[in-house]
Amino acid sequence: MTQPEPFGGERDPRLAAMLREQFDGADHAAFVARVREQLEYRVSAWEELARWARPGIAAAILALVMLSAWGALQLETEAASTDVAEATGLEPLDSDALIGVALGTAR
Amino acid sequence: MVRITAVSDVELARRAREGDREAFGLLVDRHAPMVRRICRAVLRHPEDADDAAQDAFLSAWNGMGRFDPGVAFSPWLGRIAMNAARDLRRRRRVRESEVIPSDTKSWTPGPDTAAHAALLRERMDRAMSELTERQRVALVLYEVEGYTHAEVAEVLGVPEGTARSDLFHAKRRLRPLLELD
Repeated sequence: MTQPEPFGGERDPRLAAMLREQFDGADHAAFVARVREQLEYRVSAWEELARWARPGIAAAILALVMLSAWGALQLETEAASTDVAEATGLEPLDSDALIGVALGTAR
Repeated sequence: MVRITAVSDVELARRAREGDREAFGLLVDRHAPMVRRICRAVLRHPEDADDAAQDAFLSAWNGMGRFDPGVAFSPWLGRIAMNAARDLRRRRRVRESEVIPSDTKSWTPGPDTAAHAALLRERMDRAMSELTERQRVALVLYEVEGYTHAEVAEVLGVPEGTARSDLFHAKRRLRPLLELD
Protein backbone atom coordinates (compact mmCIF):
# COMPACT_ATOMS: atom_id res chain seq x y z
CA MET A 1 0.00 0.00 0.00
CA THR A 2 1.34 3.41 -0.91
CA GLN A 3 1.49 6.02 1.79
CA PRO A 4 -0.07 9.42 1.03
CA GLU A 5 2.60 12.04 0.31
CA PRO A 6 3.28 14.33 3.26
CA PHE A 7 2.73 17.46 1.18
CA GLY A 8 -0.45 16.53 -0.67
CA GLY A 9 0.95 14.86 -3.76
CA GLU A 10 -2.50 14.06 -5.18
CA ARG A 11 -3.70 16.24 -8.01
CA ASP A 12 -7.14 17.75 -7.74
CA PRO A 13 -9.09 18.18 -11.02
CA ARG A 14 -11.50 20.66 -9.42
CA LEU A 15 -8.64 22.83 -8.23
CA ALA A 16 -7.08 22.61 -11.70
CA ALA A 17 -10.37 23.83 -13.24
CA MET A 18 -10.54 26.74 -10.82
CA LEU A 19 -6.94 27.69 -11.55
CA ARG A 20 -7.61 27.57 -15.27
CA GLU A 21 -10.55 29.89 -14.84
CA GLN A 22 -8.40 32.23 -12.81
CA PHE A 23 -5.30 32.28 -15.00
CA ASP A 24 -6.16 31.20 -18.56
CA GLY A 25 -5.49 33.88 -21.14
CA ALA A 26 -8.16 34.93 -23.60
CA ASP A 27 -7.85 34.50 -27.38
CA HIS A 28 -4.98 32.09 -27.79
CA ALA A 29 -4.76 32.57 -31.57
CA ALA A 30 -4.45 36.36 -31.31
CA PHE A 31 -1.70 36.04 -28.70
CA VAL A 32 0.29 33.55 -30.79
CA ALA A 33 -0.08 35.79 -33.86
CA ARG A 34 1.17 38.76 -31.84
CA VAL A 35 4.28 36.89 -30.66
CA ARG A 36 5.01 35.60 -34.17
CA GLU A 37 4.68 39.12 -35.58
CA GLN A 38 7.07 40.53 -32.96
CA LEU A 39 9.51 37.73 -33.67
CA GLU A 40 9.43 38.41 -37.42
CA TYR A 41 9.90 42.13 -36.81
CA ARG A 42 12.85 41.66 -34.45
CA VAL A 43 14.55 39.01 -36.55
CA SER A 44 14.14 41.12 -39.71
CA ALA A 45 15.56 44.17 -37.94
CA TRP A 46 18.50 42.10 -36.69
CA GLU A 47 19.15 40.64 -40.15
CA GLU A 48 19.05 44.13 -41.66
CA LEU A 49 21.55 45.30 -39.05
CA ALA A 50 23.77 42.30 -39.75
CA ARG A 51 23.60 43.06 -43.49
CA TRP A 52 24.90 46.57 -42.83
CA ALA A 53 27.33 45.57 -40.13
CA ARG A 54 29.90 43.84 -42.37
CA PRO A 55 30.58 46.76 -44.77
CA GLY A 56 30.26 49.14 -41.83
CA ILE A 57 32.95 47.36 -39.87
CA ALA A 58 35.20 47.19 -42.97
CA ALA A 59 34.81 50.92 -43.50
CA ALA A 60 35.57 51.62 -39.85
CA ILE A 61 38.73 49.48 -39.99
CA LEU A 62 39.87 51.26 -43.17
CA ALA A 63 39.28 54.65 -41.55
CA LEU A 64 41.22 53.54 -38.48
CA VAL A 65 44.16 52.35 -40.59
CA MET A 66 44.23 55.62 -42.53
CA LEU A 67 44.03 57.64 -39.33
CA SER A 68 46.87 55.64 -37.78
CA ALA A 69 49.04 56.10 -40.90
CA TRP A 70 48.41 59.84 -40.88
CA GLY A 71 49.22 60.01 -37.15
CA ALA A 72 52.46 58.08 -37.67
CA LEU A 73 53.45 60.44 -40.51
CA GLN A 74 52.81 63.46 -38.31
CA LEU A 75 54.98 62.03 -35.53
CA GLU A 76 57.80 61.32 -37.99
CA THR A 77 57.69 64.88 -39.32
CA GLU A 78 57.81 66.32 -35.80
CA ALA A 79 60.75 64.08 -34.88
CA ALA A 80 62.65 65.15 -38.03
CA SER A 81 62.24 68.87 -37.29
CA THR A 82 63.38 68.32 -33.70
CA ASP A 83 66.52 66.53 -34.98
CA VAL A 84 67.41 69.53 -37.24
CA ALA A 85 66.92 71.92 -34.33
CA GLU A 86 69.17 69.82 -32.13
CA ALA A 87 71.89 69.49 -34.80
CA THR A 88 72.01 73.21 -35.64
CA GLY A 89 71.36 74.49 -32.14
CA LEU A 90 68.69 76.77 -33.60
CA GLU A 91 65.05 76.90 -32.65
CA PRO A 92 62.79 75.83 -35.53
CA LEU A 93 61.14 78.84 -37.09
CA ASP A 94 57.52 79.52 -36.62
CA SER A 95 55.63 78.53 -39.79
CA ASP A 96 53.72 81.87 -39.91
CA ALA A 97 56.99 83.80 -39.69
CA LEU A 98 58.46 81.68 -42.49
CA ILE A 99 55.51 82.36 -44.78
CA GLY A 100 55.75 86.10 -43.98
CA VAL A 101 59.44 86.14 -44.83
CA ALA A 102 58.83 84.24 -48.03
CA LEU A 103 56.11 86.65 -49.14
CA GLY A 104 58.25 89.68 -48.23
CA THR A 105 61.17 88.35 -50.30
CA ALA A 106 58.89 87.74 -53.25
CA ARG A 107 57.85 91.38 -53.28
CA MET B 1 2.32 12.05 -43.97
CA VAL B 2 3.76 13.28 -40.68
CA ARG B 3 1.54 15.76 -38.92
CA ILE B 4 3.47 18.77 -37.66
CA THR B 5 1.70 18.57 -34.28
CA ALA B 6 3.32 15.17 -33.76
CA VAL B 7 6.81 16.69 -33.82
CA SER B 8 8.33 16.61 -30.35
CA ASP B 9 9.40 19.70 -28.43
CA VAL B 10 13.01 18.52 -28.63
CA GLU B 11 12.88 18.32 -32.42
CA LEU B 12 11.20 21.72 -32.73
CA ALA B 13 13.70 23.23 -30.29
CA ARG B 14 16.57 21.73 -32.28
CA ARG B 15 15.19 23.33 -35.46
CA ALA B 16 14.59 26.62 -33.68
CA ARG B 17 18.22 26.59 -32.48
CA GLU B 18 19.22 26.51 -36.14
CA GLY B 19 17.11 29.62 -36.79
CA ASP B 20 13.88 27.97 -37.96
CA ARG B 21 11.25 30.56 -37.06
CA GLU B 22 8.38 28.32 -38.11
CA ALA B 23 9.51 25.64 -35.66
CA PHE B 24 9.74 28.23 -32.91
CA GLY B 25 6.27 29.48 -33.87
CA LEU B 26 4.93 25.98 -33.27
CA LEU B 27 6.56 25.96 -29.85
CA VAL B 28 4.88 29.29 -29.13
CA ASP B 29 1.52 27.86 -30.17
CA ARG B 30 2.05 24.78 -28.01
CA HIS B 31 3.33 26.46 -24.86
CA ALA B 32 1.55 29.83 -24.89
CA PRO B 33 -1.21 28.66 -22.49
CA MET B 34 1.37 27.59 -19.89
CA VAL B 35 3.52 30.68 -20.29
CA ARG B 36 0.51 32.99 -20.02
CA ARG B 37 -0.76 31.19 -16.92
CA ILE B 38 2.63 31.47 -15.21
CA CYS B 39 2.82 35.18 -16.03
CA ARG B 40 -0.72 35.73 -14.74
CA ALA B 41 0.02 33.82 -11.58
CA VAL B 42 3.00 36.13 -10.96
CA LEU B 43 1.51 39.44 -12.09
CA ARG B 44 -2.26 39.00 -11.58
CA HIS B 45 -2.92 41.48 -14.35
CA PRO B 46 -4.00 40.18 -17.80
CA GLU B 47 -2.43 42.81 -20.07
CA ASP B 48 0.85 42.96 -18.19
CA ALA B 49 0.90 39.17 -18.06
CA ASP B 50 0.56 38.93 -21.84
CA ASP B 51 3.32 41.51 -22.30
CA ALA B 52 5.54 39.43 -20.01
CA ALA B 53 4.58 36.24 -21.85
CA GLN B 54 5.57 37.85 -25.13
CA ASP B 55 8.88 39.00 -23.61
CA ALA B 56 9.42 35.44 -22.41
CA PHE B 57 9.05 33.99 -25.89
CA LEU B 58 11.35 36.62 -27.41
CA SER B 59 13.94 35.91 -24.69
CA ALA B 60 13.58 32.20 -25.36
CA TRP B 61 14.19 32.79 -29.07
CA ASN B 62 17.30 34.83 -28.30
CA GLY B 63 18.46 32.19 -25.83
CA MET B 64 17.79 29.11 -27.98
CA GLY B 65 21.54 28.71 -28.44
CA ARG B 66 21.85 28.11 -24.69
CA PHE B 67 19.05 25.54 -24.57
CA ASP B 68 20.32 22.04 -23.87
CA PRO B 69 18.34 19.61 -26.07
CA GLY B 70 19.06 16.94 -23.48
CA VAL B 71 16.62 18.53 -21.01
CA ALA B 72 12.87 19.10 -21.27
CA PHE B 73 11.92 22.28 -23.12
CA SER B 74 8.83 23.13 -21.09
CA PRO B 75 10.46 23.71 -17.63
CA TRP B 76 13.25 25.68 -19.32
CA LEU B 77 10.64 27.93 -20.93
CA GLY B 78 8.67 28.09 -17.68
CA ARG B 79 11.72 29.45 -15.92
CA ILE B 80 12.14 32.12 -18.59
CA ALA B 81 8.44 33.04 -18.24
CA MET B 82 8.80 33.37 -14.48
CA ASN B 83 11.81 35.67 -14.88
CA ALA B 84 10.12 37.71 -17.60
CA ALA B 85 7.09 38.28 -15.37
CA ARG B 86 9.27 39.32 -12.43
CA ASP B 87 11.29 41.65 -14.67
CA LEU B 88 8.14 43.28 -15.97
CA ARG B 89 6.83 43.77 -12.45
CA ARG B 90 10.07 45.47 -11.51
CA ARG B 91 9.82 47.71 -14.55
CA ARG B 92 6.17 48.65 -14.26
CA ARG B 93 5.35 48.28 -10.58
CA VAL B 94 2.31 46.21 -11.43
CA ARG B 95 -0.81 46.75 -9.38
CA GLU B 96 -0.54 43.48 -7.43
CA SER B 97 -3.67 43.99 -5.46
CA GLU B 98 -5.76 44.39 -8.61
CA VAL B 99 -8.02 41.45 -9.27
CA ILE B 100 -7.91 39.77 -12.66
CA PRO B 101 -11.16 40.28 -14.53
CA SER B 102 -12.58 36.94 -15.55
CA ASP B 103 -12.38 37.34 -19.31
CA THR B 104 -12.26 33.61 -20.05
CA LYS B 105 -14.53 30.97 -18.70
CA SER B 106 -13.29 27.43 -18.82
CA TRP B 107 -16.63 26.32 -17.44
CA THR B 108 -19.87 28.25 -17.50
CA PRO B 109 -22.37 27.68 -14.72
CA GLY B 110 -26.06 27.41 -15.49
CA PRO B 111 -28.44 30.12 -14.27
CA ASP B 112 -29.21 28.21 -11.07
CA THR B 113 -25.55 27.96 -10.17
CA ALA B 114 -24.51 31.43 -11.32
CA ALA B 115 -24.66 32.91 -7.86
CA HIS B 116 -22.71 30.02 -6.44
CA ALA B 117 -20.08 30.35 -9.19
CA ALA B 118 -19.77 34.07 -8.56
CA LEU B 119 -19.25 33.42 -4.87
CA LEU B 120 -16.66 30.78 -5.66
CA ARG B 121 -14.83 33.12 -8.03
CA GLU B 122 -14.81 35.90 -5.50
CA ARG B 123 -13.40 33.57 -2.85
CA MET B 124 -10.84 32.24 -5.33
CA ASP B 125 -9.70 35.81 -6.10
CA ARG B 126 -9.33 36.51 -2.42
CA ALA B 127 -7.56 33.24 -1.74
CA MET B 128 -5.14 33.84 -4.61
CA SER B 129 -4.24 37.27 -3.30
CA GLU B 130 -3.41 35.66 0.05
CA LEU B 131 -0.94 33.23 -1.55
CA THR B 132 2.61 34.20 -2.31
CA GLU B 133 3.70 34.56 -5.91
CA ARG B 134 5.72 31.33 -5.64
CA GLN B 135 2.77 29.41 -4.21
CA ARG B 136 0.50 30.55 -7.04
CA VAL B 137 3.02 29.55 -9.71
CA ALA B 138 3.68 26.22 -7.97
CA LEU B 139 -0.06 25.48 -7.96
CA VAL B 140 -0.44 26.30 -11.65
CA LEU B 141 2.57 24.21 -12.63
CA TYR B 142 1.58 21.23 -10.51
CA GLU B 143 -2.19 21.16 -10.84
CA VAL B 144 -2.75 22.60 -14.31
CA GLU B 145 0.44 21.80 -16.22
CA GLY B 146 0.94 18.42 -14.55
CA TYR B 147 4.58 19.05 -13.65
CA THR B 148 6.38 16.82 -11.19
CA HIS B 149 7.63 18.30 -7.91
CA ALA B 150 11.16 18.29 -9.33
CA GLU B 151 10.06 20.23 -12.41
CA VAL B 152 8.13 22.75 -10.31
CA ALA B 153 11.26 23.23 -8.21
CA GLU B 154 13.34 23.73 -11.35
CA VAL B 155 11.07 26.44 -12.69
CA LEU B 156 10.87 28.20 -9.33
CA GLY B 157 14.62 27.89 -8.79
CA VAL B 158 14.17 26.37 -5.33
CA PRO B 159 14.94 22.97 -3.79
CA GLU B 160 12.32 20.27 -4.36
CA GLY B 161 11.39 20.24 -0.68
CA THR B 162 10.59 23.95 -0.82
CA ALA B 163 8.38 23.43 -3.87
CA ARG B 164 6.52 20.62 -2.05
CA SER B 165 6.10 22.84 0.98
CA ASP B 166 4.80 25.74 -1.16
CA LEU B 167 2.21 23.41 -2.70
CA PHE B 168 1.18 22.03 0.65
CA HIS B 169 0.63 25.45 2.21
CA ALA B 170 -1.13 26.79 -0.89
CA LYS B 171 -3.53 23.84 -0.96
CA ARG B 172 -4.18 24.06 2.76
CA ARG B 173 -5.15 27.68 2.32
CA LEU B 174 -7.43 26.83 -0.59
CA ARG B 175 -9.05 23.84 1.12
CA PRO B 176 -12.02 25.74 2.59
CA LEU B 177 -12.72 27.08 -0.86
CA LEU B 178 -12.71 23.58 -2.36
CA GLU B 179 -15.10 22.38 0.31
CA LEU B 180 -17.72 24.93 -0.71
CA ASP B 181 -19.75 22.46 -2.79
